[in-house]
Amino acid sequence: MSDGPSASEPMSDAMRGDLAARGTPLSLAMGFETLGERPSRMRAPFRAELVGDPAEGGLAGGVIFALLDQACGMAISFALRDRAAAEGRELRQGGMATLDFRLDHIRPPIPGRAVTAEAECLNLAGDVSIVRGWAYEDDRDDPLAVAQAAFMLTNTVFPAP
Amino acid sequence: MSETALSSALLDAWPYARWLDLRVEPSPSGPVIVMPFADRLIGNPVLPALHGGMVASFLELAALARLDLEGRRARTIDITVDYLRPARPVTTYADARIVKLGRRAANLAVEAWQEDRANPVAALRGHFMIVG
Repeated sequence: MSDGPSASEPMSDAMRGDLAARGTPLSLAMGFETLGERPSRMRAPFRAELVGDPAEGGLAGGVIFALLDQACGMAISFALRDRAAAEGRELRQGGMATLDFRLDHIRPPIPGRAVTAEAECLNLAGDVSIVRGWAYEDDRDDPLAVAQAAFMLTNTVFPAP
Repeated sequence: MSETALSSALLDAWPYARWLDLRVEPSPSGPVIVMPFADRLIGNPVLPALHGGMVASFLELAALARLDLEGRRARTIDITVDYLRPARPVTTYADARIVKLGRRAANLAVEAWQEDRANPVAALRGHFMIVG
């Protein structure tokens, strides 16, 4: 982690809100790329050191999990921003914490291939946000895994304009 | 379980398990899987806390390694991870329990903790297809 924020360095609220989109040490170490915002879309390039079962040769399930977790967090960030804009308010976003995350594997990832994850935020009511995501190589209608998760939002406020 | 069985072939053979530097250690209650801290595991630099995806990866690999110690090769069908408290930037341990080992599938429960085993940081429940 060379150019990212250090643990001791305080971050502004704006930076904090965009953390999921800007990248974390983990997403940087794994080479995750942000591709789009609605739905939130991220890509994990194929890397030999991130292969799971060598007999199968695709990216490990844990890498798919991390990618979807990141894409889901990003989807919430964008949904919060959209809501603030729709209400003519300025968003002050605190953090978010994953409560639970379920991942269903439909099929093994294709060996040697990058994986793309998409996620959409299903609700922002109260302090809990529900998100779902899916992952695929090229065709979003041919997913290799689907995820559903609940995130706790902390200190997110929409102050009056 | 003998000491030699504590060298998990799976953790040695899977590139991703090596990337996470996972190993098996003996404990009074049986083998535990260990994930040493590394900077790249951080998901939230503000707290700082380990990335939820890394905690999940660790729990899943602990389940697969547990089955491996039983001589079963498995493929993950589904996992659910409950996050109980932020995982701090220190060594993390996991204990994987085989709830049911069937002919075609296994159900496992895994808990991860850091300094205090009585205060787990995350828990996994999952189904794994037995493939060998």
